[in-house]
Amino acid sequence: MSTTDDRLEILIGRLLDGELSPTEQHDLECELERDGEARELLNHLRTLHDCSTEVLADDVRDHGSDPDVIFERAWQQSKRSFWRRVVQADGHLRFAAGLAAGFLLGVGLHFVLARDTRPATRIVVESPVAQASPGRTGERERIIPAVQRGRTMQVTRTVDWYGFTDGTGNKWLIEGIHEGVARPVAYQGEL
Amino acid sequence: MKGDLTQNELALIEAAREGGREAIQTLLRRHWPWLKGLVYGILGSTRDLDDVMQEVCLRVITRIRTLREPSSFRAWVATVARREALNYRHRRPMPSAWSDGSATLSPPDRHVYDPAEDVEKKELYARMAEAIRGLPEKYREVLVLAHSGELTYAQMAEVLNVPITTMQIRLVRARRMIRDRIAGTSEQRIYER
Repeated sequence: MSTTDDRLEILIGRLLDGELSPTEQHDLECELERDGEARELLNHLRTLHDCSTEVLADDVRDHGSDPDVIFERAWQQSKRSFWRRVVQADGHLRFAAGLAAGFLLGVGLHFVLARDTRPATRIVVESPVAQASPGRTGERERIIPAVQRGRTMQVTRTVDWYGFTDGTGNKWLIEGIHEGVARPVAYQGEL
Repeated sequence: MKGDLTQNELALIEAAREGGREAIQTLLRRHWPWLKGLVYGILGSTRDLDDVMQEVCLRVITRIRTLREPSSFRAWVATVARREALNYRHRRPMPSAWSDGSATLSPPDRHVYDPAEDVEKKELYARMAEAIRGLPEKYREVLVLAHSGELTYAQMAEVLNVPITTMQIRLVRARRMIRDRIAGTSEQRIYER
């Protein structure tokens, strides 16, 4: 088919569909007057057009339920609960919902188990002052009570401590904090 | 055309976006013929037309709030209908006879059972129905929309989301394919005789 044929068929199509402008109508009339094949094509296309319209009317427009009935069914369907829709959803949606639920469960379990495996912090309250014993010199003690200061306050710290006896026979308890700074925290002559 | 909706229709769309049942129902009823044609054009048969139209209604009811521009309602609802029809066809493929157009189809009922009808005309209707169903989807879509008598060319182009020239060329090709198929059948019949 040539470009001229295409244009002629477009014009005839526009005529049959009621879309022809006055200028196009004039062009088409000229073409039809001049060309007998164009007239034949118009007649042929008109027959097919009418036939198509009837066939489609029968096949589409006259088939199916009333729009209001279908709408009513859809409206009732839209009112169903969310969960019912999830249960009745197609495979992809069910899969996505399952995946999301599994993810949430996994995240929850992660935090619950992480809390259970964290070492428990013991708060020692029996004595406000640490005491050294000969067998524990240099031993790492994780938790000791804080030294009593002006105000009574229970504070737990993670420190290393050890005791030693100086040249004059005094016993010292030394607290070594993690930064490597050592400072005496308590001294009692009777230790 | 986007701006060709009446004030009344724009007000209806606004009410529908607010969730008004009557407004949604009225809108769908007004656009029903061409929507049905569009879905038919994709499915290629009337077998599951009601089911898909119900899905379209459901989607419009639940999603109308997401429509940003009321003036683009027609394009929006066409997208919804096309997507639902394609999803449905994907889930439940049509029998191959529909897609390749090789099914032996009977002409429309009212022509089959009308004794006054001419035999040749009945045959023509049967061949026409077969030819339309055998068209590739994009040509069947445009042909069905054109014959729905509901939309102008500009509106059809909007619904199909293609330029108006593309839409016209598809329509010409669709008609040419039908003509060739029917002419081919006729020639074959003559040859067989």
